[in-house]
Amino acid sequence: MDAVQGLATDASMTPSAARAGYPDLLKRGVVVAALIVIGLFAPTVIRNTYYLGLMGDAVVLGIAAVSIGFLAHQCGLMMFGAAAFTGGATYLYAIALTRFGWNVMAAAAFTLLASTLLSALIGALIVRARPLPFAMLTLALAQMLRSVVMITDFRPVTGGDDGLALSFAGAFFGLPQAQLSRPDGFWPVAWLALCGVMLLAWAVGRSRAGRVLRAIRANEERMRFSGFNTYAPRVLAFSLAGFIAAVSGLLTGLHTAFASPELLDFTTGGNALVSTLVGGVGMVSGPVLGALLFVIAQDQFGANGNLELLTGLGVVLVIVAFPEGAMGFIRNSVARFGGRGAQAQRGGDHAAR
Amino acid sequence: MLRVDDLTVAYGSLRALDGVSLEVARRGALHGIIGPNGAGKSTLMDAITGRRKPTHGRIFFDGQDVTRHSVERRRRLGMSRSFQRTSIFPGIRVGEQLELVASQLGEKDLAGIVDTLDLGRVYDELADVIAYGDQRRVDIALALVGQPSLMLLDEPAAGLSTAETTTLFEHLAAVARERNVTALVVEHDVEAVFRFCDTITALDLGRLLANGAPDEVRRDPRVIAAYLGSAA
Repeated sequence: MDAVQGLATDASMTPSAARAGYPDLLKRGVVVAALIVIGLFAPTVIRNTYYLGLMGDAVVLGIAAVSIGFLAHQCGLMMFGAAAFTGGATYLYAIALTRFGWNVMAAAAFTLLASTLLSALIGALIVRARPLPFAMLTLALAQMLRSVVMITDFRPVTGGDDGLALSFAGAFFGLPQAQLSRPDGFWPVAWLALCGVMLLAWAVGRSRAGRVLRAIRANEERMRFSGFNTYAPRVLAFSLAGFIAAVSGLLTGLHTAFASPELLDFTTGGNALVSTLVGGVGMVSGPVLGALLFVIAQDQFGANGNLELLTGLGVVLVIVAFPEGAMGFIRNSVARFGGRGAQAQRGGDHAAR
Repeated sequence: MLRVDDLTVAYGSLRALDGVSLEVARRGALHGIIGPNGAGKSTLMDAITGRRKPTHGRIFFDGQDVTRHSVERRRRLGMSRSFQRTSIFPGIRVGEQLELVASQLGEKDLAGIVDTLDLGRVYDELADVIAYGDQRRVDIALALVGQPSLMLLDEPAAGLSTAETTTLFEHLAAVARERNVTALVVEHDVEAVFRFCDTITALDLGRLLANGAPDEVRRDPRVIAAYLGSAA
């Protein structure tokens, strides 16, 4: 009842902020800032180029997974066709560079802006759908885009089956193409992008907009009967998910300098989807952990020649054993050993992510 | 405050509501809506709140024609509702959901609502783990946030014991009086309706049977024949 009485004096204060407290938030901020800085120096620790390359792949996949996890957690919508937004962004970047002749910074800005606007447009059409039709619509979109880029008439723009090889003369935030193609040169860009999108997803989840989205997910009709527009917030969430996926696609273009139809294939989006499920959607870090586990597992399973069989088995085992994902398991374990009720922890974290 | 003119809601050839007209003028009162299953009570609620579009007729709220208004717009004008099946936000703490809706509708006295409906002890609980009776009161609290002038409550006592029903109606009567809000209550517990409501509308097969003070409605031969039977 103390919380109730507190309302009279500070109605604007969020419940999670009230519980966590600003000093605690500041402490967390310092830890996060330190982790971001430490992460930048990963290449000095992981000197093996191959493993650093794997880490870079995990980061790019992790960003796509954050996009899927954000939408799943905030809106209860699972994106089966994330490849449409990651691969689509890679193509937009490649087209802006090779066909429009723009410099790399302009091409990157165009990629993010156009992808976000397209996501808003697509979101406006599909966010009203129920979860399963929604998932299938995004999948259909990716498959449709894959077909479009391979249409012979569009070959001068998209490169058709051959895809688009690209190159740029200038520098992306001071990094020339040759450096971005190397794992150690690409790492700082990928790492900062990952940290940026995670912070963005976390901040939105913690904001009033995040609480509105989760309430819409919990009971859309009640939200409408509480005076909320339930459509616009979901379109905005979808646009943000599209933006995050576009960051992943842009990074792919910057690092590999190639856009191919395979980027729009279901398996590409499927990898991000599996990463999301393995890591769990309850926290922003879940999909990133899932992507890291996925990339490491792919590397190990591929080495003994049973990649698909072992991947399938691994995914089934993880999902059955950890219904809330690997990060959910870690969170619940920490809560249990920390003496806090798992139930209370679940409720609190859902609010704050 | 609320005027319904010749309201018809049809599903194909079936008329769930057939030319119903009624007026609720008094503020701070309870207005009961009774009738057997299939009488059109919930359809009437749905049409008034915008959940279902009427086939014919008009709805006026505080002198304004709201027939074409969206659910959200009607809510912001001061028309709220609760549902036959408890409609709360599962997985979200009671206090958090009340605060969210309060911030949207500019409610200044959330603490008063919580106090009136005795929700203080479940304020920090997840809404889906509290007792059913508490969930019903959370549902009503959500409808009460934003100082609505009209609340439509669809079977608020469904699933409650006789004692809980009496307590709930006492709460409702107090809320209506103290907050000067009119409550339109669909309820199958006839005794509670006749005991606590100031005026009553009786429906049957989508048509209006009677409208007036409890004693008048209780004595109406058509209401007795269609619904009350020996209970009258």
